[in-house]
Amino acid sequence: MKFLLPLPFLAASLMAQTFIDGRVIDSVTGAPVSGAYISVSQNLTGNPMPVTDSAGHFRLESHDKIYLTVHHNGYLYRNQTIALEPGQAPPEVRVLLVPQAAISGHVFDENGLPVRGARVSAMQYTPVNGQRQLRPWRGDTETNELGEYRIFELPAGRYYLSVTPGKLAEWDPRYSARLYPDAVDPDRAEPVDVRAGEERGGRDFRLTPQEGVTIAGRLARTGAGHVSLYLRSVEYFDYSIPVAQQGDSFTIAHVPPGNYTLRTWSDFVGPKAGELVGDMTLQVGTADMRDVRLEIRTAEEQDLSGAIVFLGRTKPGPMEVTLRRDPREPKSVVSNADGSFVVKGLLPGRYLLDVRNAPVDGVPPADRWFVGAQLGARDVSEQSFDMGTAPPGALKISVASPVAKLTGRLLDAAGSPASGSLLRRVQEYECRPFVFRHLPRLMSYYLPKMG
Amino acid sequence: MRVCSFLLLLPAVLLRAQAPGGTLDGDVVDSVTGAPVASARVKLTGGKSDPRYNAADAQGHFHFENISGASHTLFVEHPGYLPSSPIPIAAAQSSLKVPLTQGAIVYGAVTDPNGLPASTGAFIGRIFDPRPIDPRSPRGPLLPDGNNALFPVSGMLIDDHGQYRSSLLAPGVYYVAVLSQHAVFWERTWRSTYYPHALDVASAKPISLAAGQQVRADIQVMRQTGVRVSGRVAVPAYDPPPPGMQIFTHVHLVSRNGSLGNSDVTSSPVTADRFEASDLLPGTYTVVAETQQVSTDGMGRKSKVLFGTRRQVEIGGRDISDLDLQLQPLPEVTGRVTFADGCDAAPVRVLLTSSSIGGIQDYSALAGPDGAFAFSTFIPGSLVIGAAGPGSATVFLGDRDITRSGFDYPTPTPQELRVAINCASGGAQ
Repeated sequence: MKFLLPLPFLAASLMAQTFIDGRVIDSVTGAPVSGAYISVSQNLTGNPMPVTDSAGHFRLESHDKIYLTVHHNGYLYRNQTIALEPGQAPPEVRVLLVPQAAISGHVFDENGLPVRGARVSAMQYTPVNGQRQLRPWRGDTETNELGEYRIFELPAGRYYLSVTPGKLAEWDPRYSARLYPDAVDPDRAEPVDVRAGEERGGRDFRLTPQEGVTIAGRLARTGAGHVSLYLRSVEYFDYSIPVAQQGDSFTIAHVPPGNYTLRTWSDFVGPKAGELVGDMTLQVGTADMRDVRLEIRTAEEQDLSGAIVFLGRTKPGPMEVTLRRDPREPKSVVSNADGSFVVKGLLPGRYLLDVRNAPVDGVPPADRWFVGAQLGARDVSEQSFDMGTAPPGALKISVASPVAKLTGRLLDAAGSPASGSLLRRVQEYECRPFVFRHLPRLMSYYLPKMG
Repeated sequence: MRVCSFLLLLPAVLLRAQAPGGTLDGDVVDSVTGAPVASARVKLTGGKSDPRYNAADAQGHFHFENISGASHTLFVEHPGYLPSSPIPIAAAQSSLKVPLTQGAIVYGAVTDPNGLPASTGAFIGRIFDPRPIDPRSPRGPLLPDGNNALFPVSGMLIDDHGQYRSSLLAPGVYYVAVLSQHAVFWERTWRSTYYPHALDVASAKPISLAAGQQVRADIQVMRQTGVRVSGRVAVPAYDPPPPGMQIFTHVHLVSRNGSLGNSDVTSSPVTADRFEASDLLPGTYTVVAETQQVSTDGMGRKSKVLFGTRRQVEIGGRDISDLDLQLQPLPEVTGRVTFADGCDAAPVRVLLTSSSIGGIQDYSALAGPDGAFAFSTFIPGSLVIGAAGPGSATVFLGDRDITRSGFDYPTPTPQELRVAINCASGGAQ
């Protein structure tokens, strides 16, 4: 088509067709990385992607702003933004790829027989609603028939491994989740430290059956009709089991010690209005619990009142608060001038909290960012919480304007620059010396190689 | 229950004295070689006690004592072998042989069209059943509806070395393919590829697996260009969207030639009243165009489908530049619940399953006291209607019974939708 264009246009389009050259480099060894794919945001339609050559070189069509994603098996994905000033000659772009870390091992039973279909997760401590909790970090895999597992694409760091017996627990429910090497209590778990480019092998689990305790009881009802029962662990993310019933009585065998919620709805589907519901907390120790009584009554809608608190000098302005339990039926409300709001018609279940600027006369106001939230005495800053049948208390939502930008250097113990580290913004309770307030919510900050 | 398992710990003499029961002896053997399978896991359920667990010894032998009660079931499993089916144990039975079949393994390396290891996470589909696809079949082979010869047994992921491995396969014939749908790095002209180097099942090579066999099957993903399809898109006039909402029109081309999700859905945004899709392989496609009003926050809140159209198109070896589409306003799906004579009118929850380019989604709506129910609009596709509640439901569109078949939405002309509840078969309140 181009040869049909008049000459001035051709010249203009040639001018725009300048290129950006770049190199992809291993952040640990400094060696060029060949065979890396470069994907750019301008390529939404699946056009061919540049691949780095043996010297790690690639070439891209120039744009004012380019969002790059660089991928090579064995390295962590790398996103990078290139912004060009108009008329500026494109610089040579350096992309540092950080080699992955990997952890591998086996899962055996008490007789040394391989356990297949066991789920092994690499976990890290994360603040969840005000509590320091172990949560899975990307790495999540199942053992094969030889009991082998291998978790790759991990950023360097300190991990705790958990195993959920899966198929073996279906075979024999006395096998339950364990932290490496054989702990229930996170304080007794042994961490696995891996560096970029390193693989830690031989992290083997040996599962032994644990009797646990038996929980038995009855439903105390005020209405007829079937209810389902679920036992969910408060501490163990993975533990949520359906409970079999005989008439109005139920028995749950081999429950490991810990804190649980016994309730009539699963994590995924909350009750509808008019359905029968019930929930209670259970502290399970080492003794059987034989006379548990779960009150069952008709689900009632509750109103949740709350307030927006602006951490600054000006007024909060209207914010739209959305509570979403059913994806298709979010409950939204816009706060009043004084920041107060009432969300009506909430039923028990797991809610996602979304807070954003409500447009004034169709125009969104200056940015206000979600900082944190409290529901009654609970911190729900992670914007996901369970609501039971008891009144939840008031929802206090803090918002602020972005006020700070942080820059810095990361050094290792010897004072040398630590390249290839992933930095995460953490809450003050996780890391007291660094109080990062009022920052926009970002998933991660990346610190390029320095020094 | 706990009392029983506690009793098992008491001296056996005492147990025999109190509750004399039968014994069960068995041998776990390899179903092909007949050799003993050492240290298999053995479980016996039934009777009044908790399940009892045991392990076979080095000669594959296992033994249970004090079996009381009538019906018991035995389960046996061993790493690398397919688990046994539940084995019913007759009361009189005292010994048996349990054959276990060793699982087969398929493994290999996957490379992309550039010869590089395939990116981590790309999906390998394991497919079974060697029957050829009926070329007249209107649907692709991935749909497990009985008319189609192939469906995936399960999936596995490619690791950071570009390799895959699937174990514990029952002996049989399999097809292996790399599917495009889940890959992160995938170019438009790269195609889902069957082992060893085929775009369709007719040219694919089946892999025959015997018990315990290990077969290497390397696959290189194929690259193939296709034709360009474009056209004009006419959308009815509409009011500007309310604040915070935007209106988008998309055209989707859904491949029906069934080569394993090759360009399964190609979507194109409509800009300046035109759409364009590139690199489509020849075949029959369903073209779906839809205009949606969605919130600008990208979370799909309060979204509604305003206009749409759907048609079939044959795509050959040449570019098409005049695939013009006229979108129509979409009706809300409304209808009425009626009750057969003798049935008490009760609240009925009407269930709707929509299947279209967005996949399969379920909806429900409660019929009012007058039996009227209403859903929103949907992306053009097929809808199946049913009812939860007392009795059985027959669904009519006009005079046509669409209980099982569902119907194509939107209908060319408005037709009455009726859910007839018959409580005669029980369930009336």
